Amino acid sequence: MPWGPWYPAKNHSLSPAKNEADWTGIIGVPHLSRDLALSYEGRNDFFASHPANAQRGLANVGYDHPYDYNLCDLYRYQEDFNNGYSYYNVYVSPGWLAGHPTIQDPNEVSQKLYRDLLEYFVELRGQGNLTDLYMHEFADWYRANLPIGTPEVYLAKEVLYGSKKHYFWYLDPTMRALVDTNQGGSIGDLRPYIGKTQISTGSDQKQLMIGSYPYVIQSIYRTGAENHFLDGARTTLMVTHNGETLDLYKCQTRVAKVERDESGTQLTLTPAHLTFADGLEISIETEYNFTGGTIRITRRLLTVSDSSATLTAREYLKGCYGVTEYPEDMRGIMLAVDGDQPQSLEYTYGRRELRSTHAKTVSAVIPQITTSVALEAITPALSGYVLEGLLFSPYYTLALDYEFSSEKEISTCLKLNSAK
Amino acid sequence: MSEIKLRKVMRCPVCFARENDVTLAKNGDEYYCVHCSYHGTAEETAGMYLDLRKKYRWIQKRVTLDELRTL
Repeated sequence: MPWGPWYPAKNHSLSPAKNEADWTGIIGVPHLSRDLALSYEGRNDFFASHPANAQRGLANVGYDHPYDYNLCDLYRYQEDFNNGYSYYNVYVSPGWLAGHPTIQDPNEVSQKLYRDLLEYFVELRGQGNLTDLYMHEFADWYRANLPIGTPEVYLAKEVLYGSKKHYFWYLDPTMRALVDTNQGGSIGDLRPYIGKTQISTGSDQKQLMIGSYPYVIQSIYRTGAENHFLDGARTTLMVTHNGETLDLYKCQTRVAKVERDESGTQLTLTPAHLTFADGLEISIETEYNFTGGTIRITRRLLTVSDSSATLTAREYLKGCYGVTEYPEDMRGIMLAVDGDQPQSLEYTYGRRELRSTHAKTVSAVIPQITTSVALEAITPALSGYVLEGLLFSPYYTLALDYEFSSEKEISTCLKLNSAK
Repeated sequence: MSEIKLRKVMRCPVCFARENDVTLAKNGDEYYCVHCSYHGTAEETAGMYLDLRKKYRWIQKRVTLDELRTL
């Protein structure tokens, strides 16, 4: 779901509406403002705007609780990227302040921490840095100031472990995407709202309780980078030189720049540095451009220690679909590659490969969530590659291979769309 | 970290480490978990809470808005 308030869509109330006709007519707000980094990595009710959640996560030391202020300021920081707007709330039942079994601090500590945060709000309001509104006032303000379809972004910086990790979130009515800069800028979570998947929950519905909007990539639930076996859902860039392939996920990068204008949202990462076994050193800059349903990924070879070295690069997407950490039935997904040897297959867990030279597009159509995912070469590609998964690796892989040299950049579009 | 005063309703530190909330049961002076094999006194359990907090290296660090901008 969105991190902040949104216009719930009719097909799925946890996705943002694309226009007035698509809107349910109410403003959705999150129950609490969650940690934009740690709630991706773990439980969101350990790291949220309610001080008792931080206590539940053991993120305070008695009366000492800077994390509550840090998280509030992390949300204030988002004003820098969203035209001066950010939303923060705290709303819970009093039981959390009077003997909740998940809180080990005495009640007087819980109550003091809560009061401290409210007093910080008052202090910010006195400085002109915060406006407090009743829910109905906020809904009116939101309607008047944030038109349906307005994209929003969040630059998360991790401030409890002190890892200084950066995560970048982009959200509009077509998708929610997460860039994990700590893994070289891989996409770690991707929700294709453009597919308009319909899910209703309740005792009279097929889907009883789990109503999350389906992902096509979720690297925490679905393995992500490889550990003891094959990798799982993620994107990455793989660079090959002299028979050796290096994966960008092992490079820690950070957000260097965020720019937003009519052409979309542009994210530039700090360079990733790679060293091959023969001593060749290279650095790569990654740039993302987000617009409706499309993420353009541009890779630039900034430096190479031997200008005569030959390099190839593979833009790589390993996807699936689902709402939990458990795999869903992949049968019926259609995989395809175009180019000189256009081919397609229907997913039957056979681990079949499709290869084609001069491919422009590799794609997966997922009828279960009425969505398609594709990589489209903007720079002419050498070839395209598609891999079906098997029962113990239930994913599809889409890849485009390029020549990679310092004279040019390579550019690929990750395209999401609705599909039957 | 200084000693922290606790209520006598406690969660299992082992289950907490894997993101599960499980309230400990009590047998005499010892607490035990009904979910895993953890057992220990109040003091031992409090010590494990302190250990768990060690992963939060910035648990007592204030990071202001201006510092976030350059972090």
